[in-house]
Amino acid sequence: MKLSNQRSRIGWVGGLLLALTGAGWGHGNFHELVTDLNAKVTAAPADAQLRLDRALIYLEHEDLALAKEDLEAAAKLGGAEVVVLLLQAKWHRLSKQLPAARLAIESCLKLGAKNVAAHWERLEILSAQQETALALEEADALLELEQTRIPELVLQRTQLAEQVDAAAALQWLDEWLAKHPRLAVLEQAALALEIKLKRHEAVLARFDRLLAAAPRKEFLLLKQAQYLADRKDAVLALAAVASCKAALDRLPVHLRNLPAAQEVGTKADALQKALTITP
Amino acid sequence: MPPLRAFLYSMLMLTAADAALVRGPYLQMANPHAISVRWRTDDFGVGQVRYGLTSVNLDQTISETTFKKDHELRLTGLTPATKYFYAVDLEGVELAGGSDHFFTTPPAVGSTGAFRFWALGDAGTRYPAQTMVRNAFGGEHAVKPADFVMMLGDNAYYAGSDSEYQTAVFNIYPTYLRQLCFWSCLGNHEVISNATAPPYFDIFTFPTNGECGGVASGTEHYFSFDYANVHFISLDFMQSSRLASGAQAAWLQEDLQNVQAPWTIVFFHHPPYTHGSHNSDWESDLVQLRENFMPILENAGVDLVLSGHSHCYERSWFMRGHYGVSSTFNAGTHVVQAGDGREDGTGIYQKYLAGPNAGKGTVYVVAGSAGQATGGALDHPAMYEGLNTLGSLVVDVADDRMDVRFLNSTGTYDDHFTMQKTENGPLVLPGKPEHLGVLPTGLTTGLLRWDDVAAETIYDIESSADGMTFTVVGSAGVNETQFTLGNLVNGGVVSLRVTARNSNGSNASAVLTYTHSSPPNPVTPIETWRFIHFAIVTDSGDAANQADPDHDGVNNLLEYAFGSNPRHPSKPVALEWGYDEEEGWYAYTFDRHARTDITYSLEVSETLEAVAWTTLFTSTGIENTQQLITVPDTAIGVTTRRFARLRITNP
Repeated sequence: MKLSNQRSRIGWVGGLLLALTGAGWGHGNFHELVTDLNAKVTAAPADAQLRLDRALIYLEHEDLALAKEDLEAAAKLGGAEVVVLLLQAKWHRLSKQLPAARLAIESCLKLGAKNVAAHWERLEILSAQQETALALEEADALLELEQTRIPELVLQRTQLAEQVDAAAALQWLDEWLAKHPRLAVLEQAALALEIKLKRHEAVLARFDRLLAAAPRKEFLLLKQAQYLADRKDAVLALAAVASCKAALDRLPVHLRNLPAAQEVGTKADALQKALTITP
Repeated sequence: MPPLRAFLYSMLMLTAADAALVRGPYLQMANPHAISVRWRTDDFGVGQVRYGLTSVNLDQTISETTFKKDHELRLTGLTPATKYFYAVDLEGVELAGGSDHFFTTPPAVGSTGAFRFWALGDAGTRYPAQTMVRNAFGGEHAVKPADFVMMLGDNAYYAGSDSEYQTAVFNIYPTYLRQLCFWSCLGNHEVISNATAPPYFDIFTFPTNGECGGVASGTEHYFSFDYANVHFISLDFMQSSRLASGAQAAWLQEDLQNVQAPWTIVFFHHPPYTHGSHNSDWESDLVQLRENFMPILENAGVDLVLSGHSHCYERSWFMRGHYGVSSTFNAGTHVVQAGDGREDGTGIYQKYLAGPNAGKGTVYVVAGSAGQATGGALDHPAMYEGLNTLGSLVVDVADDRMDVRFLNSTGTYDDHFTMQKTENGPLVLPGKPEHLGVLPTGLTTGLLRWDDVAAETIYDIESSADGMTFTVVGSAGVNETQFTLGNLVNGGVVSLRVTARNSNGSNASAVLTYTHSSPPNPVTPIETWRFIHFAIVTDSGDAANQADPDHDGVNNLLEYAFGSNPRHPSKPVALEWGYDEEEGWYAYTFDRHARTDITYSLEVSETLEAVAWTTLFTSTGIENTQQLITVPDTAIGVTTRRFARLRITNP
């Protein structure tokens, strides 16, 4: 017996023990899916796909021991080699066996070079291995293949690049933004990099661009005021605070009193007070 | 025309003339001035949409420029809130049209007129149940038509393949598809047939660049749109990041910070609160999205959250601030306005625009039974209602009022509630703390207790020797109901006053005149606990060990052992099990609270026979601290089945 205050070490599969007895066919429910697949595997023990289906469910719930059994069985049965290798890579990564994960994913990509899921997995593995340069290459390769999760990938690529060279990360992001719709989320990421790099003029220009595009200004104005206050530019910071408070005042009542807006007001008041007391 | 090109062209013309409509038409991405019409043919050809204000005068035309099987044309320059008739052609041949091919453009953004939408979750089973739910809505639609349809994911079982979409969606809802715009969110079954490029994204067209309002997301995984005076947000917790630092959360913040509509409705497949066929206490994806996203939604004043995934109907209280597991739900803290939210019940939910509760209160609905109902415990304490019933949601919005109703598969409404935006909330003052009492605990000490009140932020504790002039001796925080008194004199008389306050002030104080008498025997911990919660120390009445005054199925002794409140319904998660990767064994865990007078015994068995239980571990509570105890059980994985129970004993 041991005492622990850390739940996170344990890969939870169950929850209440009673849930183990849950049975019956259905869609989506973990126990029901497993029960259903158990029956199918019993009926067709040589069906590798069924083993992979069940392994994937176990992996999603991080039940690594059971996932391993199914993956080994699927590998022995043969077929679907790309999927087997992909899931093996995922299994090794979740098991924190990163070199083995890397080997598996490289083998997987040799067989299925354009498998987007495999490229995402490789990106995860390389990031976990802190192989930043290779991860960056992988992100670039993935950008050629990914169709739907572009903003997520661009952000991830930017964060990776920032670890190596923030200026280069910003340059790459700006170039990307110039060729694609200027998503506010990515503009904000660029702004954060500019602040980090202390590129004051660029920061102000970015704020101006974001403010011009934003239907509501109060959140951005508060952020701008905080940035200016951090730079000890009390005059401009106070002006931004005043603009922020004016923007809040202009909001219709159904927006002005929302918790998020109230929070902006409170922070603006506090910043104004601090700036007034300590000019 | 060169001979070869002429030959190819004539071949294509011949083919197109024979082409048949195999999907649609269906409507996508409507805004007040534009709508996309999509359809599929079984052969290639150049498509065209003719449209106009009457079915016999389709005087406007838009055409494709390339040969396609999957056709999509965006009609622009439309007038808001206007009914248009349309027909789709291929190579000049009409494939579909007539008086039942029409759509009505959304009203101008911000308009306050009434509209209705139909929301259905986990519908695509192709079981008779799916058709029953559809038909039940048909009766409603005939009386008062919906303006658009919202699918809550798992639209086409099992794998979300294109062919499954054909049979589970396009063949089931053809009339609605050609007359109403369909919106959706991504379910887990949408990605099974192809996790890398789910057909879902080819089948649907959603705004990625703010085409229908909201901030551009750059992806169809998550997006927003405006309809009249409501801002709608569709999220994806299947493939997009559930992290607070992820791209989806960043976009959501941006979008919510730019909302201008009075109402905001958010929909996504995975429910933050459910005890249905899924359990939001331990399914990590549900826990993660709840912890990382619900604070963002509530802070922005989101009114309604719709989900599926659990194949049942669950509807929450009008609530706020509950981000933990179900056992941490506290009605006193998390319910913004108690009651059923019904005009014909305890009263509709008031979403105040001003005052201390401005913008606070969200209702969470799980509506995942439009294709099957597969039950579950349905006992999540955050839920007002839980039904293992087939059905779908009908939502009506009219200016500052929203009515949400659960329509079962026989056409009867099983639940309903109403939310109203109200200009000024009442000045909420906390009530009077009742049942003051003092438990003498020592020669000069005592424990003052009172009943918790609503809306307090602090309790002031005052004492007076003459009952006239009171001096503050301390304070207690929100939801606290006890205060330790010192400097008492045996036989001495003291007046004690407790006042609950918040930023609006206080209402009435409770006063108790107490004569101290040091106890002859030490007070036990469970007696103290009883006193705090029930104002008595004896094992009797509501305070009895076996009593369950809050009717939550957990008796007082268990509430004591697991640290929950015996007067607020909740179900503490007593015992869990899992695999310890580091140790390589299966183990049980439970929280042993700081109860020195309780014995926790973990018993296991391979059967449920009374004699078969053996004790695996006993904790006598020697250590007076709360501990998460892990008990390995090497028999799991060896035996075919294992039962476990936790026995609580108060010696």
